[in-house]
Amino acid sequence: MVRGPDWWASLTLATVALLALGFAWFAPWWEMQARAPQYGQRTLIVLVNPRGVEGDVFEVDTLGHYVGIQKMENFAPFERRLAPYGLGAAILGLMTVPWLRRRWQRLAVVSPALLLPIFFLIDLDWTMARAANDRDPDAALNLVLKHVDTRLFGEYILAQFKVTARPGIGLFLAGLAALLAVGLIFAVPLRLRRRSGPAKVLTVAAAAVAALLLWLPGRALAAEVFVPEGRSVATAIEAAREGDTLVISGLHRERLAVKKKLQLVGRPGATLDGEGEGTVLRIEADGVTVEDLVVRGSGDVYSKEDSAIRIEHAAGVQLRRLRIDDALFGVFALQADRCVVEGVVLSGKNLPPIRRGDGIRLWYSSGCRLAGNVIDQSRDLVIWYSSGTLVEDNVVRRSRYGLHYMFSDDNLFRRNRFEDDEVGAVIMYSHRITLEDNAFSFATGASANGLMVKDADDVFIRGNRFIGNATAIFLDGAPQSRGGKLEVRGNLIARNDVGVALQPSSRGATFWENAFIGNRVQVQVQGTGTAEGTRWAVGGRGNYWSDALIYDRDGSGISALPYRPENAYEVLADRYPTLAFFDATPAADAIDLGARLFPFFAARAKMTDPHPLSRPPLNDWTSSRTESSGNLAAAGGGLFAIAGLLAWGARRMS
Amino acid sequence: MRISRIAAGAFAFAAVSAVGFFAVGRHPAGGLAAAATPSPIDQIIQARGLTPDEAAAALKVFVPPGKYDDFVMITSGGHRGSVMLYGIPSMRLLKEVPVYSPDSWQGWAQGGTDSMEVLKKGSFGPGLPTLTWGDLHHPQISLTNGKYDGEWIAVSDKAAGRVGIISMKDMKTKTIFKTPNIVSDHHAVFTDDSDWLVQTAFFPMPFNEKNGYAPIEQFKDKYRGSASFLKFDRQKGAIEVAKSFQIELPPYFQDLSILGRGPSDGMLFINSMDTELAFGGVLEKRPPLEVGASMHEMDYLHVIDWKKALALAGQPGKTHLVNGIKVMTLSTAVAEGLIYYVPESKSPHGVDLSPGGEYVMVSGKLDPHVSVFSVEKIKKAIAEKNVEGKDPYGIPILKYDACLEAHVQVGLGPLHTVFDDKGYAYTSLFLDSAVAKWSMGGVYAEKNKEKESWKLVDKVSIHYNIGHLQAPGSNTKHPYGKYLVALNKWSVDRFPPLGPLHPQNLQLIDISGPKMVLLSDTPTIGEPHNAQIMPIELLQAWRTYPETGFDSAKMAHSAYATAQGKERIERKGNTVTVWGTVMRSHYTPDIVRVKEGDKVVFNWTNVETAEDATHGFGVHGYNVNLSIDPGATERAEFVATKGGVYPYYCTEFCSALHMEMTGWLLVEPASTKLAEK
Repeated sequence: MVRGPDWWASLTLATVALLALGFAWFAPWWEMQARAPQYGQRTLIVLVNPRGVEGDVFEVDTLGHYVGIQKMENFAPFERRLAPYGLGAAILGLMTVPWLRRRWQRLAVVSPALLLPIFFLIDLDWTMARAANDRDPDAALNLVLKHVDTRLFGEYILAQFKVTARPGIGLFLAGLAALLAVGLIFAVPLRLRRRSGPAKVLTVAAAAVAALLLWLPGRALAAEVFVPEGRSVATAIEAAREGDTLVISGLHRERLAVKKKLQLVGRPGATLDGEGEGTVLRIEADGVTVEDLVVRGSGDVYSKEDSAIRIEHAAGVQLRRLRIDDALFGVFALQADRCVVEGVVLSGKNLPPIRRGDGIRLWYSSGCRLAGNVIDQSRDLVIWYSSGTLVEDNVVRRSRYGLHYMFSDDNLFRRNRFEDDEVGAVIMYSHRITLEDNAFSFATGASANGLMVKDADDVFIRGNRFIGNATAIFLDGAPQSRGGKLEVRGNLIARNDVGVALQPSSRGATFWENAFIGNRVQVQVQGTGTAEGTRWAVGGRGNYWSDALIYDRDGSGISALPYRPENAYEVLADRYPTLAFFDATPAADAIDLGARLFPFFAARAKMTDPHPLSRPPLNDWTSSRTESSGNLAAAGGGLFAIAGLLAWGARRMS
Repeated sequence: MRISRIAAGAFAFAAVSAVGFFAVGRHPAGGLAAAATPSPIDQIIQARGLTPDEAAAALKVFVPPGKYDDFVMITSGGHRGSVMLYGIPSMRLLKEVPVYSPDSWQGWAQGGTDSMEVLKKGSFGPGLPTLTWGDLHHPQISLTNGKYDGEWIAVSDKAAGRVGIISMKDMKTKTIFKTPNIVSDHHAVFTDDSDWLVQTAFFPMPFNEKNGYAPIEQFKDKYRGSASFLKFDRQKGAIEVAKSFQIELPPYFQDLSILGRGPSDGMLFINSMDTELAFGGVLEKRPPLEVGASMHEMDYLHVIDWKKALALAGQPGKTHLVNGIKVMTLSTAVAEGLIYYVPESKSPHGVDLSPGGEYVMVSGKLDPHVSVFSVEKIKKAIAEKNVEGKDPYGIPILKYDACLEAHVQVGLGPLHTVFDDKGYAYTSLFLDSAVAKWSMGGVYAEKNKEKESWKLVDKVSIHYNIGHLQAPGSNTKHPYGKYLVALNKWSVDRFPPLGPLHPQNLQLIDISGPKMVLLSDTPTIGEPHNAQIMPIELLQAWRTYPETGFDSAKMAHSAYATAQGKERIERKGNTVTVWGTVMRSHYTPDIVRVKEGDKVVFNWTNVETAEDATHGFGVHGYNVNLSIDPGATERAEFVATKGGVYPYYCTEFCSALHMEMTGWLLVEPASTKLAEK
């Protein structure tokens, strides 16, 4: 048997190329870093490879939606589906090429490996340029952007973001594979006929390595450790290696600290009980996952912040399907970027309301997701200094601040319910906040606002329901900055003491297509000011006012009579926010009578809706929202409110 | 609820009827006829487009010409470095008194020898310049037996850790005292007989270290807060540093404080923030300070037995001198059991004491409640050692629940609380932009007769971003009630456009009835952080100085006074001293001849005794202006650095011949040849 040197060269080239391609598949091919002032020290990083997009996708998507850029998951769907086949073809080609004799055949089979990186770059460039410039023209802040000159590599500016793009390790590896493939075209072929010998062994080995490369990273080398009742979870945590999964069952009276990347998974009924002292579960490592557990029995000392779960300096922690009982603080997350709290059912300690702790507190933790949690009898849901948070499908009831929110930008709240809280939601000192399809009901504390927005800009309040609060929406210094927006559209605002309360410093807000139904005072302006700085109609469409005199001659749905509430009583009542002592009492009538008797009491028009709607725009919302479970409730609430209005009206008439 | 509605309704009806009656009552036809032919007052109301409330408010705040207001409010000027006196209810600005910053109208630190000396003594010392500004946050009127006595005003300086003392006899600053070892203080509080002033440090400092320096990374170990106990000499209006002392405290940004009285006599309560020990470092990948300092749930209300500390400070070995003042170390204070903590809501602003000293009110701005701590319960918890832990410095933390009397749900962003004479408390709400009125319990329940104690009873909206609020006599044993002033940080749209820098807004609120009523808006000069309000009768300032040739710095006859007829110019070496008098409308002497390079000293005495006959002394080119009030001797000295002719003249209009009240400072150039050219 004669071994020529070429034989080895061909095999080495092929093996290295295969290895490079295999590693490249799991490494990022391209990286984009974006920095903006509102993210402080944090840089948003998006990693792209042929399989898809990773990193701070949610944050970038949230930001993108304000300027009308589509979500990244919608980019290049065809290419993503194609990518695995492309890789397969490349691998197959590299494995076949040493046995082919003709150059053109060899070129043909290695072409997938050659084209993969080139196609990736061309496609990325094209997709990116299209995504940045084919924007949704109706996006809230679309106008702030003009044409964006995206770049594959290097720096450019996108709105207030400074974007740096550079190739990732995967692209280098894929490039290496392509170069080696070029080498293979010119290498001396193997002889196919020789059936025996190391060639066959090597071929099989190469195939096995390639297969292994595809499988290995997908399967963690982790172990599963079972921790039944009677065995210590703390000991198991100590013994476990990074990446292990602890499967817990039964009751464990322990207080734990997790300082390595572990998964804690409970069997049904698995419980961690802190026995009424200290914090039950501390998480201090990135990527810890806790699922299907009951965590209960924290201490009740404020100064130690006794909690069911405390996450500190740990990114990517995931809490799912937990029940938290009898805890002063439920989830206390400090510098816990990209955490996920999902499906947690939480009820506070059996303490008087003033002595409770927060249900969930996010502090200085960006890019988190709170979804489908139920918080009852707690204090606040707190989000401070935490940008890029998604809060959806949560219920916060019988608590203090449904949402206590400040210095946190680019957050989206949807389909949450805030009920029977002292204050529904307070949003302060933040920018680019969207609230959609939430319900704010029955806020009944000393500052019982369904939603209060203070010193905030670019806030979009759409399709929410505000029912039975002392004040449904209170705006103070919102919007406040030049060019700042605050849009209130398509909301149902019914049966509140006050529909909208404005400090005169809030100028430039826009209200349209809302239904103001049976609020005792529909709009209140504090401090003897007017709401003239507020727009009450857009594109000829105002709001529905249950107390407006409607004249819709042409049946267009728009009343020809502007809505201009003015009476002396309301002028007086403005001084007493949230305390409607006089309403529906003889005194209120006496004041109105007084105003009629002494016309020198100037009654002031405080606002004008030039185009009131003749019907509540309930249909418009329901048709515009797809499969929202809130629709029925909205419609029901609306009907309920209309019934209430009729009853109220009847009482006024009698 | 029903009853309160009816009561409120009845009140409203009565209010409307009263205003209506006032408006139409004197018209013979009255009633409906009045609407047809309004009276002159009705016509004014109509012409000005007023609402009933506004018409009533106008009547409440008007003070006829020549009449005085009921109260005088002393507000701080913030970083203007002065205090202002306003009349209440008219909200007329009566006077501004300069402290840390020059005021050329009053000749304060504008070349005057005595005032320049006060500023120089009150600076950091060698290596740093004489300070000509300060950040004056809180003024406090001196107390006798826990009530305002109208003698002194003590003011703080957040920018330098100083105390300024103003005499209310002539409304001039007598002392600026730079407290060693601190660089800031939010306020200085008087004891009930004003024999001590207590100051807290705010910025922790490495004052124990050599040269006062330690890297910020050693914040926890080397940086320290403190409480300073300054002995106040009521006769001189000065601080006796030899009798004063400090207690070293952990680096927790000790902020506002309040001294006990009655059951809390001898106790000092201090708010803190940043018990997280954060120190910022935005570019060094640490959270900004405000983020770091709001990580935890609680900070610590410091409770200090300062009378015991005072007794210990007199004993040998309990204190040591640090930069000229006695300091009791943290370890000594802990060993002696002087300090306890009560957990308090995060980053509180106000710590306020009920007038009788029974309750301490603390508001954490992120908690919609006021926490009311009972002094009795705190004392009991200390006696029983009912603690829930210790801080890293070994100071015991009392059990929160053991000290708490009540939580009052007031609204969002509560900051400060003041008190009236009827058993109610009033809390400023920053986030709500409102003032909350609530009923107090304990002995105060008998006064307010509310069914429920510690309960919100009323709210009024303010504009905008209220900080402090103040009511007459609120921090004394004897609150007067009647009015409340909201000191609002922003005015936004309350005043016509005045450029990007807006004045702040003082809002006067009538608290005499069951519901608060907003009366007026007043724009301010400077930034008033806090105020004190006392009855106008306590204002007993001199209308002229009590004798001619009075030294206002020493508050005694001046060694530099000149009697009429004794005016002269004396030369000693290179120093030329002018012994002069001023009266309507001339200077004696009116010609002063010196040589270039001479030191010129002017000693002017205003020999007039007529009220308001003040003269000025403005010198061209030399940056000097004095205000020489009737009876006063004022001095200015400077080196005549450049030859030439420099007129001086009276800057304060004095008589029909005011324009002629001038003189000549002739500075003969060193080179006469040059002058002859």
